[in-house]
Amino acid sequence: MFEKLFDYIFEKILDKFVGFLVASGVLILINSLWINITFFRILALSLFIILSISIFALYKLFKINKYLKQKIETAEVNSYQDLCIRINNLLYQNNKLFKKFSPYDENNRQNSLIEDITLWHATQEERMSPNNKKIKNFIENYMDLIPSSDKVLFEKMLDHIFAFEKHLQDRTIDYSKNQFPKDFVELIKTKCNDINILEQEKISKWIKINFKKKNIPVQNYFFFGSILENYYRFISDIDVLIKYNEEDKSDIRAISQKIKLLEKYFEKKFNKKLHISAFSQLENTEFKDFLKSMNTYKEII
Amino acid sequence: MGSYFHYTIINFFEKILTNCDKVTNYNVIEKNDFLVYSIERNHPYHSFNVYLTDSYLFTLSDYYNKPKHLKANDFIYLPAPQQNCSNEVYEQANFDSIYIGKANFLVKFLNSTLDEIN
Repeated sequence: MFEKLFDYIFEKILDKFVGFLVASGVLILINSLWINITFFRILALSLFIILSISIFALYKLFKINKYLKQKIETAEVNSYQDLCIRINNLLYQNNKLFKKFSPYDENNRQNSLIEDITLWHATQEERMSPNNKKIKNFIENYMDLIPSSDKVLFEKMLDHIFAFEKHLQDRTIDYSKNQFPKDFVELIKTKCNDINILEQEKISKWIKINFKKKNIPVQNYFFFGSILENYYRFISDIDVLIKYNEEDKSDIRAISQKIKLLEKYFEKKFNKKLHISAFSQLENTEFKDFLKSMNTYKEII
Repeated sequence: MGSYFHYTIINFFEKILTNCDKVTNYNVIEKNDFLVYSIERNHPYHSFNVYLTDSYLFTLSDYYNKPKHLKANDFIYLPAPQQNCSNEVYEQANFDSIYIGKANFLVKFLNSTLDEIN
């Protein structure tokens, strides 16, 4: 409502008003040079003009921001895969929130941190529900791009979003018959398999060359996290998991320092943070458990 | 290492500090590469630094790259429920007299003297 009003004021009134202000300001200024010149009058008029230009610049900035936001969130969806990637990004964000705050997540069940259910309810209402609404808009706006064979699952997701919203409005409403459709997530994931292929190749090449240069005895490298889930231009961190073959603690310490340096070099080159989860030979059990606990990962070959 | 934390995590952590009557003051002493707080407490409770980490699983590599501010009797806090650390880290931290844990242990630590904790 506020945004619409703001937009209306800017679009319908302010454009002409600013033009009028600037024109009249310039006219009065010129006039004041001929008749009764005073320092204060010129100063006041100058401020008047500066103010007009500032309002105009703000308006343009507002328009540019709005355009960019729209472009990122809704525009450019021109294929079925593109649509799946956009939805996948939102599902990924919601999944991260579920893992962090839900008392129903397996890891959280035994954790005393999740004693307070209000944080989970706030997460559902303030952070997951807006993402769901975006998913709903994507599906409804681009229904034509969805092949008829997959439409059933998309409709299942829409039913879930509807029931979930009703449940948030009234917690006594049971939505167990419209629970989160895991088969929808699986479908979306399969459609996003080859996301960021070129960037992944570039990064894996850089990682392998530089780890070799630093004599770090890496056994396995894996990508995980957002590089497998979202468009490269939208992500700020690259998550890489490595398992290296070292048991001596003084050597592990030296390797850790090298890894930290490589993270810094990476950020300079790619303008994104590299987050390496590095496991030594001493942490082999934890490495295997960690790999098992992840939804998606991809070995760097 | 990265140190991005959602505001709810910071709020929850600061709420723990504010609610603890042993804590007299706290400040952020590092926030670029790492997030480190300095905690002051009443006598006979010692003042210490807390390092908040966002590593999914805190490994030896993370431990050896910890902030320089962290000395003996300081604390490494794992703020998110799904975070954990390897057994090797527990052993090494124990050897260095650095404490590591989640919210429940942090609360216990804040309300205890070193003798009581040990």
